[in-house]
Order: sequence, then C-alpha cells, then structure tokens
Amino acid sequence: MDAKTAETAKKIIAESIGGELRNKPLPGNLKLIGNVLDSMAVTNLLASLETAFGFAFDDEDLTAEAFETVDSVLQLVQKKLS
Amino acid sequence: MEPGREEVFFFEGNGKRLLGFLHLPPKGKSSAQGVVYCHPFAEEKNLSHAVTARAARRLAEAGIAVLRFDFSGCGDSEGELDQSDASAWLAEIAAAEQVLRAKTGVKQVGFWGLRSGANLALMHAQGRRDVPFLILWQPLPGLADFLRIFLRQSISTALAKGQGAKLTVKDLTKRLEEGGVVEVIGYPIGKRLYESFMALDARALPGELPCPTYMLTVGPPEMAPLKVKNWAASLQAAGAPLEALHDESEPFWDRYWRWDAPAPAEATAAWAVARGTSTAVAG
Repeated sequence: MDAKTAETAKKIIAESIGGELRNKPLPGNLKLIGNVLDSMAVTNLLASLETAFGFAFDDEDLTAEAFETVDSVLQLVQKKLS
Repeated sequence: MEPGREEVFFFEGNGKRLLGFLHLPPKGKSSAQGVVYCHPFAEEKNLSHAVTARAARRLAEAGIAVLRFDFSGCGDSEGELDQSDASAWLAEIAAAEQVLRAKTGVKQVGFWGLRSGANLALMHAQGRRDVPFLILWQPLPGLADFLRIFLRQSISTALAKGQGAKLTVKDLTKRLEEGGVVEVIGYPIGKRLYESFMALDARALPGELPCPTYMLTVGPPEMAPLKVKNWAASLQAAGAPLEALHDESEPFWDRYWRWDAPAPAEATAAWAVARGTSTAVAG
C-alpha cells in the first residue's frame, strides 16, 4: 500500500472513531474492536472507506479479525484495492 | 436576539396523528415564507435532533417560521416503523405544509431536510413551481444504497462486540423481500418500508431543481460525499439555482457526542435571509 492510501485510510479510521482521537496519528497496533469502535463507528468506517476508495465490501470481508487493529483494516483496504 | 415562540401539537396527516413542533419568529419579525423540516431516518434522527432543533430556532430568529414534525412510525407520531413506508412520508410532508400555512398564514412554504429527509423534501418539491426554496443538508446519493448500509449495522453491531457476523446483508434483504421483519439496532424494518426505499431510489437526486436550493455537506475532506458533490457540480454547470457549501467539521448525525454544530445553522440562516425569505415589520 502506498503512503498516501495508508494516510487516507488512517484519517478515515480516526474520523470514524471521532472525539479526541480525531486529529491524532493512529499507531498501527491500536486495538479498534472492543476498544474505540462501537457499532455506529464501524458502520461509518465501512461506508467512508467505500466512498473514499470506490470499492464495496462483501459480506465475507466483514470479520472481527479484519477490524481488530488499524493495521488489519489497512490490510483489508489493500486487499480490496488489489 | 429575542427568542422566538414555540408550539408543540399533534396534527392529522395522511390518516395518522403526527407530532409537530412549530418555531415562530419573534414578535416584530414576520415572514411571508415558512419551511417544513424533514428529519433523517432511524438513529440519525435522534443523533441530529439537538442540532436541527437549534437550527430551527436560528431560522425562526431570522424571521422564518419552521415546522418540524415526526414522520409516522417515528418519534412520537402514530404508527409503527415496520408498517411505514416512504411514500406515506411524502404525503405527510404535504400535510405538514398545509398545517404550516394554516397556523402561520405564510404564503409560501419551502422545504428543508437532513440526509434521507433532504431527499424526501426534494422529491416533494419536484415538479412544482410554487416552492420558494429548498435546503438540503447532506442528501443521500441513493435510498437503496442507504438501506443496504443501514442493514449492515446489524453486522457492525456483531463486529463491535468482537463477533463474526451471523447474518449477511443478503440474508436480511431476502427476509425483507419474503415479508419478514428485520430489526436493526432496535429499529424494525418491514417489507413495505424496504420496497418504498427501492421504489423511490431513482428519484433521490433528480437531474433538475424546482427552485433556488441551498445544499450543505459536512465532514472532513477524505469523507466528502463525492457522488452528491458531483451531482451538485453538474447541476451548477447546467445553470441550476444551487448554492453549495461544504463544512469540514465533524458530522453530527452519526455520532453520540456531537450535540452542537452552529456553523451549518448560521450558514443556512444567512443564505435564507440573503435571498429574502424574511422581512422585518413593525411589531
């Protein structure tokens, strides 16, 4: 994944989490599920990634493992883009 | 500025008892025009309530009478959500328009909506020549896609709990098509509602506008609603009377901590006043 794509994806993750984390750089190992992402934020994250990158998630993409950390979401984005 | 007057009441709309909130301009300010507000769908209605109520008050202060109301099956209006449909909501907008005229004496009524409410306001005004203005806050690019994303919230809930999704959107859609009821974050969705969203999808963003229109979108650049912004740009290129503003602040209809967003209300009121929807009179 190129740096620009990763940066955009990280910004979208931060915006979906919202609040104090909105304008902070996110570490790749930041735990999302069970930590900072509630169901509404997950919904926003999915829709925003689809809008920004022009792909659509399939039902089988939506696993708990794929949304466990920032890095795992980036890997999912990379998979959808490739 | 002197606070406006407010009235809460029920009215009859399309056979249902609907809850209305009327925001009147302060004494000394009178408007020949009013506006009916159309709320967004499900949890977005609750999450945006404080912001839109404040915006309604701001418009009233600027001299524009505002009627907010709950669609049937929503909020405190009569009916169940799983028995509702969006075509009925269009008829209820027409009823609200008549109520606003009768209660305030305004001669012209514009329409304002947020998210799916913006699309419904636009559909209601489409083809008419007597609508003075439209205010569209973050209209949806499509109703069908919106419902797909809404249904996905049941999967998001499982994900947020660290569980794999037990159901897919395809499963939920099939259940709806077969007449079943699907509950998504506490909101029961039925076949009628599902089919009405599908039927109205093609009318969500029409190729022309019936009147001067103000479109406001909100969010950081990387989350900008590109389809909607492209739709607006193409209308503007064709000479449509559309003014569009993008506010880069955090959205206020999809998160629990955003209870105030003064910029959209101020910008909207400024636009409405600049185009002459309100008039100061001796009070």
